[in-house]
Amino acid sequence: MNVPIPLTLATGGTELPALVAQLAHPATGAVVVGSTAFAGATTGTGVVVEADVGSRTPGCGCCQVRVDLVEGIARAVRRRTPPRRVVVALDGHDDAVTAVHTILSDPILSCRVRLDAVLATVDAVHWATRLAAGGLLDTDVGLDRLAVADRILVARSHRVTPEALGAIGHVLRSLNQTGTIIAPAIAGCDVAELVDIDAWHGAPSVGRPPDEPSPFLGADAPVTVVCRTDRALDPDRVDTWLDEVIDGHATRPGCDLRARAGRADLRARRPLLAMSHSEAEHPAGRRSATSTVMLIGRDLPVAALHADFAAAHR
Amino acid sequence: MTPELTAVTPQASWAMPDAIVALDWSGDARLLGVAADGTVAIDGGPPSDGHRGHGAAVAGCWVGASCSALGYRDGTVVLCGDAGSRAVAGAGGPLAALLWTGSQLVAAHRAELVLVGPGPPLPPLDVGAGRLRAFAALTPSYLVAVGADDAVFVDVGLHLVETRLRLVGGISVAADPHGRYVAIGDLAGSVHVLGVGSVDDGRELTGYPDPVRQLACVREPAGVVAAADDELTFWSVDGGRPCDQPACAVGHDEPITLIGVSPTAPLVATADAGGRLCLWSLRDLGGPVWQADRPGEVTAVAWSQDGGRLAVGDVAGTVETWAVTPGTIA
Repeated sequence: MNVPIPLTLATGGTELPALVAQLAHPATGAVVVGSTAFAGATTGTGVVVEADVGSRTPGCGCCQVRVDLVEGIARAVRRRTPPRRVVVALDGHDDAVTAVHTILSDPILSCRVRLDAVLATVDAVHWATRLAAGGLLDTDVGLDRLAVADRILVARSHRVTPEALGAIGHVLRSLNQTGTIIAPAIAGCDVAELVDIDAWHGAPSVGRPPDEPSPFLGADAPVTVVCRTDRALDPDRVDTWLDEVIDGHATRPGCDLRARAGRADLRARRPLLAMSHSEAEHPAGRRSATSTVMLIGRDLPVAALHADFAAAHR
Repeated sequence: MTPELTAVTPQASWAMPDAIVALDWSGDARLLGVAADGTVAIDGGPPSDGHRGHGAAVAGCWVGASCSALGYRDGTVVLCGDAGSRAVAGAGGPLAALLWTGSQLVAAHRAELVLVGPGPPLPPLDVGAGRLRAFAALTPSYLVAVGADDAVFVDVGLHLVETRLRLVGGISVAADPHGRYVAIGDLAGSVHVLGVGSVDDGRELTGYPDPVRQLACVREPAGVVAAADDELTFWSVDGGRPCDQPACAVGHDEPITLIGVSPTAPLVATADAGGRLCLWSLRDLGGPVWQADRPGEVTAVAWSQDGGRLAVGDVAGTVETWAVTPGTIA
């Protein structure tokens, strides 16, 4: 069986082309899959795709897939000399969560590529202006990609005041408790910090959220619910619980639940693969003391989820 | 003397510079091979790279007796014949599919069909089905196209959409060789069997764990072959109505990525992501009648028009052909 090729999902706005250019430098052996602006600009090796979103359940937003990405990524890797890595470039209008779901769930892709990390870019100058003006920081799609990113690259951070940079950091930490924030970026950023990091499948380090969420985020911004327990978890029971949570909450008006089921984290002394790893496989005495399940979504009933989790895994 | 069991005999093998994206047999049994880098070869002859420069090749087929058509990722379609080659500008955008119906070459770009014929070029036909994903020919002048929003039946002779059916999520389509029904696979893991002329009286075949991308209609015994994940299913169809339960077969360890149905015998070839190639007899799906484990993923499969030969191309650029003699039992 072929070894899956690592895939980096790069998302962002005006600063994204610079990031993609670094990730897809000829020396990296990478091929870019994306719109003409990204894939077409590479030295003929890119695969141009145009967004074609379908849903596995008609009318359901939770199981949307990017049909074009399935075909485009498959074409990119089904070559006599396959690329060493794949970079999927999505601009600010593309839903990164749908792309992640597609890459993880589609059977054509799951045996060919392996999601390495989700990168998201932020332009510090734009954000500082919006913070000062009190306007929207980003669209819902933009906030979503920041909420699930493994690396958040803050471009032009040297062009804003420390106070503005602090406020930006506060917003990002309110949105994302596991991603690494890198500033300054993108010029001068070490690509080795961004690729081959296996961020998606390893056990993330879950930080503590700010004591108070950023006042610049509305009530409908994505939130992260971290459920912990001081015992090993049964992956099947966690799967079942997540299914119940999604069924119970995903249909609520305004509720947009995207459980990071692939990242359900049974903490151990070393990074673990997602939910397929059972803490019980370790010998007694080498099992972790803490297990963590993380949910990211909007309008989540935080207290109810914590209570449900505790009851389901008593 | 016809053997009782299907016999498969290796015939020829040749190499191309890149993964094989398309194989097609002409009426006089010449095999066209198209590689991902745009090179083209016929019957293992020297690859021609005169059409490179349009990006990756994604499709290729014979057009009539002596011409071929090549489709490229950037939407360009190149017609090649004895008089040379010429590029046909598509409607723009990535090429979704290319098909020779027997009388018309049809290319799909975004939401439009581009019909390429011997006469003056026709304007692209927006079939209003959303982004087009697949199409199949029922007759030389009548085809079915599946888009993101609808399935449409198109009369290419009249250049119009004759019937429209709301069907969201369709990603694959196959046409009955007798022109009586079509089968449409969708993202939800269902296959919709619709009678031509009575599309509202269709039947949904459910239970697939994954989107149904591999789909084909069988001439004899009449039916629909579908694959999702590692399982092959065959639904017999009687009077346009599929049976209640399919026959199922598992012979792959990895997801099936290609299927090819013999045009003359009850035989189906399947290939998976790991390089396993199986040949099944629809008379008995207990196990494959023949199997080969190849070093690389099979990327193209094609039966000759007389059903006597099977061609397979893989990710390494190797093309192999086998002579197939159907058995009387399996």
